Amino acid sequence: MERPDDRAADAAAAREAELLDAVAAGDRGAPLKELYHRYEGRLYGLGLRLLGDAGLAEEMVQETFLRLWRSADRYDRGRGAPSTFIFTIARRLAIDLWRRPSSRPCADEAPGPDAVERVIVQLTVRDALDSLSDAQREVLELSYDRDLKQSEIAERLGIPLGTVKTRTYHALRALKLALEERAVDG
Amino acid sequence: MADHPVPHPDLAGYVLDALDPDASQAFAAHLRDCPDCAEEVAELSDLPALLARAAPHVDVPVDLEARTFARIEDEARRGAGAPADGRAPRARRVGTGLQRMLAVAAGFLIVAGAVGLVANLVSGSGEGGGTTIRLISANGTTARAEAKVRSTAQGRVVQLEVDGLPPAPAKPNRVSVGTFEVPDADRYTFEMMSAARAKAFPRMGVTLEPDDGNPQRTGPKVLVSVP
Repeated sequence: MERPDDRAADAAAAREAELLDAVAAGDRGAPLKELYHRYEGRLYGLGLRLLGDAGLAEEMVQETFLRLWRSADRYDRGRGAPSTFIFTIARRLAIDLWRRPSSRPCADEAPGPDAVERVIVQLTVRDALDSLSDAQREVLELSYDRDLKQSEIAERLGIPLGTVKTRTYHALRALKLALEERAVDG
Repeated sequence: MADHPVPHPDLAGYVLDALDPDASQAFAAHLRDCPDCAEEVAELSDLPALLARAAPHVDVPVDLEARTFARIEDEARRGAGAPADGRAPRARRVGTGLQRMLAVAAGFLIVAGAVGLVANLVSGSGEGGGTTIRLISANGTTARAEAKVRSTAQGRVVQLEVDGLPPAPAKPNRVSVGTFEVPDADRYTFEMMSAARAKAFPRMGVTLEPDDGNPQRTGPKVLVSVP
């Protein structure tokens, strides 16, 4: 049986494919902006992690969207989700930037797909967390990051234990949905 | 039908291992008799491991979006036929180089990371229609440049054409391997991924940084390589 979250993932992929179609048709306004907002944080984080430099990370983001605008017509729905297409562009750019002598003289080994994939998952979890409300993110972070029990969270935040329990449940559900929309199974 | 509120109040706490021990044991016992809760716990059970792997929050530069779309608009204009003076290929190459520069501060300070050149551009009265600023070598070489500054709907665009600037001299470089949070233990192991080749980066240090997501080094060194 199809789960609701599968539908969320499919709907997100379908929406992004529509946006790519619009960009391919020459629209570099709202559709490209929407794609930008969906991927900016993850791409910038990927650039920082792979290249270790804020300036290079910015260049990677800019070049990714420049190439996305130029090559959106090459996106083929049969070959994967739009996120795969976009991150493939970004990974190739990261390799180019890495190899550029003036940018990164130390590099002689390009980032492998598996290593990049692991980083993308970590960044996507952060992006999904950042999409939650502050209150929802707070109870999750106090729980998994600070290792607090729910009774301790209630005490720290000065709110009833029942509120912590309810808020945590809705935070987990919202996180799961946000991850599915970003094509990560949680 | 479940004989408790839905969702069960302890379900999320159980998934995150955030219940007090008694409540956790009681919920584990409840799961054996409640297929609905068991199914939901199974559905959410991957989340704690993912949460533990979440990357730290990083603030994206506020003007990156405007600069990105300004570049796209610029490219689109070139693609549409302008400029007609045949210099587009060269301008584009130079423009790509410009993107390596890190724009800092509001206003108009641009730092060229590759060559150590700092161009501090002051906007003039003619900026609305575009301003041209000529730059000459600061140390007597033949290097020179011309900067064209214009305002667009997407932000201010600076196009820099540079002649005769020699390559940047090699200098010590530093690359971040990653960040970690010190656990409450005497001995621990972390694994991080790095682009850096050990031969090119023979030394390593660990600095103490505020937990604010800023990748730049700001804090003191707490560990250094053995000389």
